Amino acid sequence: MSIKTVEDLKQMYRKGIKRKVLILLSLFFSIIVVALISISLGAGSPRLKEAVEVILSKVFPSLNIGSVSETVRVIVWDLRLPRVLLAVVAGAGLAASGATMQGVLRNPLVSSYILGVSAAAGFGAALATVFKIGIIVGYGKYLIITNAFVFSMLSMLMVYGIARLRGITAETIILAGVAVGYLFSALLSLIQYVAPQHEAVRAIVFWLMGGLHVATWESIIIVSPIVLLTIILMVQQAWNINVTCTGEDVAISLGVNPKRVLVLTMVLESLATASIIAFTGVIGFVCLISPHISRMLIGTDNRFLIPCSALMGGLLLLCSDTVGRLILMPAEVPVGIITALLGVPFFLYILLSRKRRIWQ
Amino acid sequence: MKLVINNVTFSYKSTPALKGVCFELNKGEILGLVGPNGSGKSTLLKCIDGILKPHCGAVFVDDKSISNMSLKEISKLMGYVPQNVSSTSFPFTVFDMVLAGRKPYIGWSVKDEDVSVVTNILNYMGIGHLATRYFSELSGGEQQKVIIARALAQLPQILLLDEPTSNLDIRHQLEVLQMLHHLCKEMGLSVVAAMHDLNLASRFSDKIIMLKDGCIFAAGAPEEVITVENIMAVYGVKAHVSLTGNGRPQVIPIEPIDVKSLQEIPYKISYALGK
Repeated sequence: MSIKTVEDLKQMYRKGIKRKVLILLSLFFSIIVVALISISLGAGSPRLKEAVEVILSKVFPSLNIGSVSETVRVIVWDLRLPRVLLAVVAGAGLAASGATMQGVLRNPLVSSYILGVSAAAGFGAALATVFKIGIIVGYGKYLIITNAFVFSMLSMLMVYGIARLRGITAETIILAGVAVGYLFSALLSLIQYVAPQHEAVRAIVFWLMGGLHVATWESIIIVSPIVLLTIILMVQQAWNINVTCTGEDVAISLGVNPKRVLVLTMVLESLATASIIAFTGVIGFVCLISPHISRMLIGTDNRFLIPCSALMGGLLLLCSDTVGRLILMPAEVPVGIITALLGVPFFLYILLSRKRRIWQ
Repeated sequence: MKLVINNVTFSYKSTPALKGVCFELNKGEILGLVGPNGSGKSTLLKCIDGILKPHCGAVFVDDKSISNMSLKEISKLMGYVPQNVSSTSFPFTVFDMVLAGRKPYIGWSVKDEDVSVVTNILNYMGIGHLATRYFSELSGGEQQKVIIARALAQLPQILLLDEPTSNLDIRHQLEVLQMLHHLCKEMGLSVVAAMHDLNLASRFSDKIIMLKDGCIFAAGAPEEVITVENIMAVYGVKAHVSLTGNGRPQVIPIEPIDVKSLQEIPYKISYALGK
């Protein structure tokens, strides 16, 4: 039982930080490698080298690499790349939101859908699909996207309003979120029940399963900046989240207003989640397990946990979508199904191979 | 550093918890707060730290009201050790737990100075060897020391503790209280500690305040406050009080008064069991 000297502990701490940065870097490079492999798999199967060439020639037009056929060009640049990017961005946004909410609400069962966002988005999308009713004017798929987004934000505001009446604490937010979620899923069921057209009901069910087949450059350009910005702001709040984790009274005594942290993270989380699922539909599970896997890998410090969850979520969703695309080719399996089928064994493996308890 | 509590009053909804509490505490003094469950000890500590906002009255540190300070300013003046220590749900290491006490000083990245402060405090508390262990895997006594270390990492001038010894064995009780005593006398910290154990309170406090129903019932030196009459009036307990070698009162509780209702207990139990 040797008492550690200041130098010992300092060194240990620096080493720990280095290890964490290394984990983040290796996750980042894994994403790039898997993304390139994913682009080169599937119908028309461009070779890895061709995929890299197309991307390079598009990003740096001055480089003259022009030996690739037009078909491959379209497959790589217009079909695969947006899809791969959307998988990474969506996975990252959902998982970072999940990690943040688990932290501030001090609850390992919380996901980014805790504020009823998914049911509300589903309800909004169903309104648009069945009755062509929208809050903001739009047509076709834009109506669905704007509706899903608006209703997600509405559910967040409702949770905030209800929690405010009772005092904003982790408990009131969780309970209000569950209640609002049930309310919107009841309304969603009602629409499905009364919907006159069978195709519409089918379309709703399909939307609810979530998928990345909708990926276009347009969706990337809208979603990526929002997700990137919200993740940066979440990481910026990392210390406040760390402190809020230890309980509300202690947070105040450490100079942090837990109510303000809760409201701020709620807004960030809802913005990220709503803008993602408005395009992709409800993609579950990534936002629940990525934070847990990351916590086991990198520890509880949110400065590293949130970026690690984001990278882990991006990687998981990318892998799942790639498998879903290929496994029953030419048909596609919705990514939500694959995420659970792949994610559960992976999660259980990590859970069981660790001796430590994940939470108390 | 002088702490002045002036006429602090607080209610939970319509239930009054504190009614016009006033006292003063000087640098380097230990104040023991005693009183039955629900007498307002925890509420008073939370009002002092600004966790709860008093409905009237004010808390002054060196003539400056804390209601005019930001949470951050208060957090650099006062450290708070809650009653229930194991309230986190995710596995923090001891080091990270204590590092959280540096929050008032940390922007985003952790500086060498923060690591040094945390390490020195861990060593001072004799828990340096636990730095990489998980908080949840420690014993109650070790956990209590970690939480006190976190409050000390704030480099406060006033330390507020809510029953710091209630879950500890006698050795840890003495260790923790001796450490607090040392911090007061050597480092000039002021300590306010809510305590249930009247003997520990009388032995380690410079002043004692006895609360009853949110009011100060008695205040002063331990031998003035810990008396047979006060214990009878506040706790409803018949007790024997003697003075130890160093002049501190020592309490041996004998029995609760109001024996009549106690005699009904066996009857009530058998009634409840249907016999």
